[in-house]
Amino acid sequence: MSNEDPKGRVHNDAIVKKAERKWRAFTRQIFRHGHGLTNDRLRAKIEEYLKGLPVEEQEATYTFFQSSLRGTDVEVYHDTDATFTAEMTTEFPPRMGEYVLYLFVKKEYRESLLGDLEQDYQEVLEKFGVRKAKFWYYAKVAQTIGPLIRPTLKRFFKWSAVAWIGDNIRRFIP
Amino acid sequence: MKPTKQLGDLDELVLLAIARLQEDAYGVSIRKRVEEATNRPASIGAIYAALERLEDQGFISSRQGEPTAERGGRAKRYFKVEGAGIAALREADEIRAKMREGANLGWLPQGGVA
Repeated sequence: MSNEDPKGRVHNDAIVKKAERKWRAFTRQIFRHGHGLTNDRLRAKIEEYLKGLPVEEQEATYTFFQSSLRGTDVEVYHDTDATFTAEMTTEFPPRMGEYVLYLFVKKEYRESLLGDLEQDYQEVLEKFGVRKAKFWYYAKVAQTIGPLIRPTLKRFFKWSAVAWIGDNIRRFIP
Repeated sequence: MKPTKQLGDLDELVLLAIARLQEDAYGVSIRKRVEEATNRPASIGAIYAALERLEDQGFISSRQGEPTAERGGRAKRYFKVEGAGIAALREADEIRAKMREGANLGWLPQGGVA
């Protein structure tokens, strides 16, 4: 990756890495908990984040800023000499669907499974629009939890059966 | 080394997909590979259930990747086949080879039984 920002300034490796770490933590927060935020509010959050950085880190952020948002519905454009603004049009998957998955998916796999579904969701969203994408998401949630809870249910019924048999045997023992 | 448990059909497909995808083996890419190979839709839940079983048995290991914006800031989990997984695949292959031995499939019409 080049350390050159859109204005042609080349930045120190260590500063770029530091800025990248901060940016990752910030985007993780904003994309994960950004549901229900309006585009203006999301844009304001990015601007607020950039303004809160020391100047050198802010400029270093511009070296990867645009490419890190590529592939999403987030449109970034160069506004003035010093600041970037972002037009956020990303639609997030329905929260209720995500919550249902939270209930059934093992903690270790939760983040990656939700991310996989979200990656597909964005594809469906692009092709068919919000309403159909949301319906698609709920259908996938229903399809996804079946195989995941099957082993738990199997174990539950197995031990229930063992307990039932044990209980019945005990009746015959004086 | 003999693996403790034999592989189920989907587990075997998932293991083969991971072996094939190597560095790029994560949920979506594994599912797509399985769907391509079998020509049937595979649910992501079934894939993750298989991954969980395989990891519990020590056939695969996983690591967390970087979070990306296109996935809503969520990280990918990359999977890798371990030695026990390779041994399990070899054993499954041997079983199939033994089962095929002497099986006369020549009389079947092309594309299977009508």
